[in-house]
Amino acid sequence: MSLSLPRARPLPTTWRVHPGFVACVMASIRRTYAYRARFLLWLTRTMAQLYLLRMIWMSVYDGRDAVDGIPAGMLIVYLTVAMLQEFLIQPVIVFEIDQRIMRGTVATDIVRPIGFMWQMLGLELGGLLGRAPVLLLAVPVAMVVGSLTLPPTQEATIGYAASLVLAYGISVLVWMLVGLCSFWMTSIHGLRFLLFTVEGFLAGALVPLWFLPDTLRTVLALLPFQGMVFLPISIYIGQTTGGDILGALAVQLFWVVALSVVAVLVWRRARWKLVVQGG
Amino acid sequence: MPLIRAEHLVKEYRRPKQAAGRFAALRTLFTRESVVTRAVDGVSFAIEEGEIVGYLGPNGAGKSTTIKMLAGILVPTDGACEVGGIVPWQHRSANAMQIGVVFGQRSQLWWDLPLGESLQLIGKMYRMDAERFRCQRDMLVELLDMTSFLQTPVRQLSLGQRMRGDLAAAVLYEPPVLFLDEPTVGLDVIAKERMRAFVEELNRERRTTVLLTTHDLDDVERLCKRIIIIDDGRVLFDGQAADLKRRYAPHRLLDVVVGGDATGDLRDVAAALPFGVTPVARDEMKATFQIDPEVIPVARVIADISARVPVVDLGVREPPLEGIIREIYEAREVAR
Repeated sequence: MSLSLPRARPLPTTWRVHPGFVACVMASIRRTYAYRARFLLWLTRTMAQLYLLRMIWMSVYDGRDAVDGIPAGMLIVYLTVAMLQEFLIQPVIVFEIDQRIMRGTVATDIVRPIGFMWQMLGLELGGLLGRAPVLLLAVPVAMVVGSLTLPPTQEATIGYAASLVLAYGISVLVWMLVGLCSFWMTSIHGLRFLLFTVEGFLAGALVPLWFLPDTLRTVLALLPFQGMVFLPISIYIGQTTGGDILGALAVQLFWVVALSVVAVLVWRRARWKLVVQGG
Repeated sequence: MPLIRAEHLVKEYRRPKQAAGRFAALRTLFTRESVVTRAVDGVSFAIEEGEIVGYLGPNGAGKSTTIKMLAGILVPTDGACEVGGIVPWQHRSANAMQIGVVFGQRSQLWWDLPLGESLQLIGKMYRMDAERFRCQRDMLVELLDMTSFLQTPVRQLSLGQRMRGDLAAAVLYEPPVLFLDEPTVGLDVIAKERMRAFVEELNRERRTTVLLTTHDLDDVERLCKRIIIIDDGRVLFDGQAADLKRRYAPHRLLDVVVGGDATGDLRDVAAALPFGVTPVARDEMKATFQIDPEVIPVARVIADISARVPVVDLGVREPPLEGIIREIYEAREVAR
């Protein structure tokens, strides 16, 4: 019998969602509510961060109506949307992959009838769906308090909806890649913490990228992170309009495709390491 | 045709060579040299449907590596293996449908989900319909006595409870083949017994074929008619447990208990034994003799001893597997 490296399985001819994937999503939704304390902690953190950011920015504005052509009210909406969005799309996939490798359950996970990465994506999606209902509560509160308004135009609403989906895609892929690093690193805690800390800045969640020096902006424009916060929210507040919306979506789509290709290659390499070298 | 087949199965692990001295960690990272170790070195065996086979060997002998290759977790370096006509690593998910795996050291359950939900998730993954799932789950819950902790998150279960959950997860979808890698490790006597009874029942009712690795030879004595012993990645013995005893330890053990006033006589008996009989252990009231039945029939020894001391109780035993296996391992250590 000839033995070669494992080849990629051919794609299924009919695209039907595997019941195991749905089960992963459902289990993950239920689990979100099993950790209510952590859940509330996250929400509190989001609120506190929003409050502090607002204070800092108001002192920067110092009574002026606009800085660099950005009205104060618009900035507040920007920051509010950024925080709520961050709460919604924070990825669980990175913890999931890391834990399964640390505990060694990955060995049994990869011999399930449904692929390991599909299991992970199912859990990730379930986390998102589990957190989403909280926004039903948080969004009205934010609107009453006056820090959130709806997108100014229908164009902005539709553009933002599309952009948010792509932002989630980029976020999941970036964190999936960080998670996959655990196949090679003893611990990814350092890496995770580093990225977690700088991500908010690189993505424009703390400081909208308009306010940054040109050189830094040019660099950040070449990275995928702006697609996670800055691009979608610029559309939301009506700062990016018309054809520029399509341009922003195209940039995001590019990153989703590019990162997907990288993720598939890295996962193949990781699986090869697991099944050939024994992890 | 055998259900599980391994032919000249080889698994080599290649690891970067560990540098020594200054900046060792850094140099290891960039070194191109690697060290190759052969965990499994040309293992062949065939297992028929309905067998329970004990796969034994000291730590690091290659037991887990073999099981991982049969489960499709590892790709063999050389040789071939098949389970139910499927090459595990080539058709991982097809193979997954027909095998159940339990690694005693590592749980396959979802750490933060209640056990019941883990089972449900597994049922869905294996495309069980609701009716079949409920039927199987209820049966397993009853058989393994899991009602009290079915709703408890797995991280809060005791080891014995977790192992029961793991076993249920592995057989939920009725796989014809079950791989058990040290399923009783760390369990107390009662939990071990429950585990063995369950595997026995499964084998009897469903004709599940079981490949079992363990360091607890009571598991083997209880469950396995056939034993495969490996060390250093090679098969040392493959055959019936009874044959192993006949070959490596053909002797019988005779336990003799004497009456209260005859303790001194027991010493005299031990001092003058017929050829082919050696004392193994002795205290005031009780002695154990090892008899080689090729040299002297056991019945004659009993008659001889009974004539000399007032025997209260006696029993003839086969030598325990434990001692035989230990001798085989030790013999290998010396030869190396």
